[in-house]
Amino acid sequence: MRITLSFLFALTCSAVLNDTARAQTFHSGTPVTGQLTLTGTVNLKQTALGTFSALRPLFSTTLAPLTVPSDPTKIIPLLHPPVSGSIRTMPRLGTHGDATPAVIPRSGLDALSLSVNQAAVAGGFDGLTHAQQKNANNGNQYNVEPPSPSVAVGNGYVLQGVNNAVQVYNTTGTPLLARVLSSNEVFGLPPAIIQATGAAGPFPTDMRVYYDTGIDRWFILQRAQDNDSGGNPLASSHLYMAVSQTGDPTGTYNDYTMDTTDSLNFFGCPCYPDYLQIGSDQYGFYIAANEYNAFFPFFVDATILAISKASLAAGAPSPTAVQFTLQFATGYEFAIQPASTPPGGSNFLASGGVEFFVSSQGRFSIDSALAVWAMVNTSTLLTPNPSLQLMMVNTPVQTYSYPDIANQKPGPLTYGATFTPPGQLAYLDGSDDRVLSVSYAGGRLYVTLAASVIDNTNRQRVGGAYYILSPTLRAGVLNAPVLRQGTLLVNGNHLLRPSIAVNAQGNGAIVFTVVGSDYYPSVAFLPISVTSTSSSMQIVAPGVGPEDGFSGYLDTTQVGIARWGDYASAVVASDGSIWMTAEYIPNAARTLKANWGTYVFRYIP
Amino acid sequence: MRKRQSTIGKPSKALPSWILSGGQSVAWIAGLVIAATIAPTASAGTIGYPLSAFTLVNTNADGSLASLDLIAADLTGGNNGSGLEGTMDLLATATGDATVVFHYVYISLDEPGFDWAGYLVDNVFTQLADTSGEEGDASFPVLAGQEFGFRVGTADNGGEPGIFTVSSFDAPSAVPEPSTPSLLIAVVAGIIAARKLLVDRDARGGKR
Repeated sequence: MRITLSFLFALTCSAVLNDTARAQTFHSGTPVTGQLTLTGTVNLKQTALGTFSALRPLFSTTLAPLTVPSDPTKIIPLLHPPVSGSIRTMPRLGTHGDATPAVIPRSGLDALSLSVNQAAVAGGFDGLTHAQQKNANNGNQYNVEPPSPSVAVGNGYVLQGVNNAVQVYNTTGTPLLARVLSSNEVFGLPPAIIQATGAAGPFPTDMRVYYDTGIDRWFILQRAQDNDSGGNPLASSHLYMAVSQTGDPTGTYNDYTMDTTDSLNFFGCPCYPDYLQIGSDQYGFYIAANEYNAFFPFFVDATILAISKASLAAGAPSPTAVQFTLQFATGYEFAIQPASTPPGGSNFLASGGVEFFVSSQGRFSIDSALAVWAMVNTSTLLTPNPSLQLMMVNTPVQTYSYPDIANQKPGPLTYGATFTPPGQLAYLDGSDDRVLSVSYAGGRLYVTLAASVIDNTNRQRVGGAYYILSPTLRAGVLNAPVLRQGTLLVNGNHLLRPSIAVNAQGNGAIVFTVVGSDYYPSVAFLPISVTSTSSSMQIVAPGVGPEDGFSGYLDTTQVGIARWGDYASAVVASDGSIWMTAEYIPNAARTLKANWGTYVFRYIP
Repeated sequence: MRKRQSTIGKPSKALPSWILSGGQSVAWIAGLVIAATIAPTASAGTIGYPLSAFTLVNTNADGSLASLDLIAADLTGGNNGSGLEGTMDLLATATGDATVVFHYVYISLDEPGFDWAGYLVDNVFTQLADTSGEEGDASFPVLAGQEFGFRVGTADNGGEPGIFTVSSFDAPSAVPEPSTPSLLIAVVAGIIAARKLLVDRDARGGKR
């Protein structure tokens, strides 16, 4: 009897995938009129050469007493969802690491550990480091942790962004801008902080970059809670988005700004958006965010901003846009990750055009379902009065739960040694179980999130989970059963911030940081396809020491938890290769206060 | 018939004496050529269709083919995620009148009716299956020059594709082809004719 690949594939899946149709929820959007506006242009290449200046005024004219800072730092807060009840089913501290006895946790996925394989990448190079970020804009920057690295690829260029800096490389890693630019320069804003005077400007964070093959444009996106000139937070916020005027990422960008202080349709603000995420379909460019109160960091709602790609490509002064404001009703209205379609892949064109999103449960620390969202009628973004609708359905999946924190392999702590008492080797934050990446390729949604896993010593580790969903939208009914799913685990170690990208042929990779007893924070990945997942990871950038940044030494009388991530990034190039970036500890110049770096590399599946 | 082509043109005691000379070798080869021309590819009574005779045509689909030949082939329909209807066809042009016979198995993870499979003759589609698990034997006639093949369709390029496995593919010819004995006769006739030509030329005093 001949067993074909197709049969094997079918046998690995459950029966006919028609058992998950659930009650749907529907949401309507609100037109965004006059809030998202073109505020200027900036040419990156000329700015890097110091021959171009287009600074915009501060949004706040509030003057505050200035004090000249001493190499100030900023930790970008990791704002979790409002988990209720048994917040985290186990103590955050005490079950991690190897110093504690093995425990039987109340949650966590059993899984096979990834083995280590020889790295087989088609090229890579060191990306932006903390030292480069800090020294951008003549050093008028904060020390920032974590970097939130993001990468975009197209036309022979590689655009990388971190908090708060960008650089453009060619595909062999040669920088194409004369110097690293601060994101304040990209957005035409005053410096984040002028070291000589202490005058604070806007401090944009949560870096996302993106290249859209459909309109041949580059995007750089951040957000900021406004502050006065003394650096004190104000009850207002803005979204900053730079959109290239051509397919050249070193050229001129249109800078857009949106006042995000007051969430549409709901109270609980003034707010600021957090954890921006980017996606796109045939017609729209989508920015999802979590909104937090500007005075007290409580979660208010989730938003999705749908913007006409045609408007952005044309440089419209006030692009056509619609915002969805989603109250925290089911618990899945948090970190609603939009999907992106790889070059050569088909967007969903029926139902007037559809953009998919995926989110996990934010109300409880353990759950067995994902929410799949479909925004329909996106082709109406081509019209002056878009008519979009958002629907959501739950899909049962393998159980996932909050990850804990990650221990590091001991090593020299240059900055920690400057404290009295000396700073101790910090843990790394494992974040929560929000969805970290979504790719829509070949009619499937590829999803990753961080999750608690149990290793072969019965200890809880930070790991990940991936899901391949097969969405349909038929007669107005959204359905998205699981085609395949799995868990990511490295015995004795931790796997942080998994991010996936899959090309149009269904082949891709998951990038992450691996850290633990055996590894300093290192960049690794594993191949994945629609039918199989590699059982071995490939370490492409071994770390050379432990994370030794300021966020891990807030109180040196105890072991701290350093910030890490908050995400990695993976995208598909037009040739189907996968470009990835993640944080690690490089053998590179550092500042006193931090030693993080990033690695950018290409894998041909 | 001896199969000793590796010794063609070389003296061998294993070969009949009438092919020992160079001219006789030429005659033997000529016979083979004639025979090969009469029966180009097929076994007796079958029009052969190697996979190379087929062309994969996707129309708003990303269907694929997994097979080394058409004795057994997996035809995977479209699932490109567009939400729109599409087809994946595997087509060939009939080189002779024949009856195409095959066994099929259809599987899909999708709900019944959203993907389907069957065969095509001159773009006329006959559906054989649209529900996972369906299988059977099928046959259809084709005339020389007609385009025929298989199609896997999808209503919306989503929910997973239909997979149509074709096995035991055969295309018995409607008009009997030369059988093995007739081929042997053709070979012998070719050899005799060639040898006669050579003998006649020698008899006329011609030099080789």
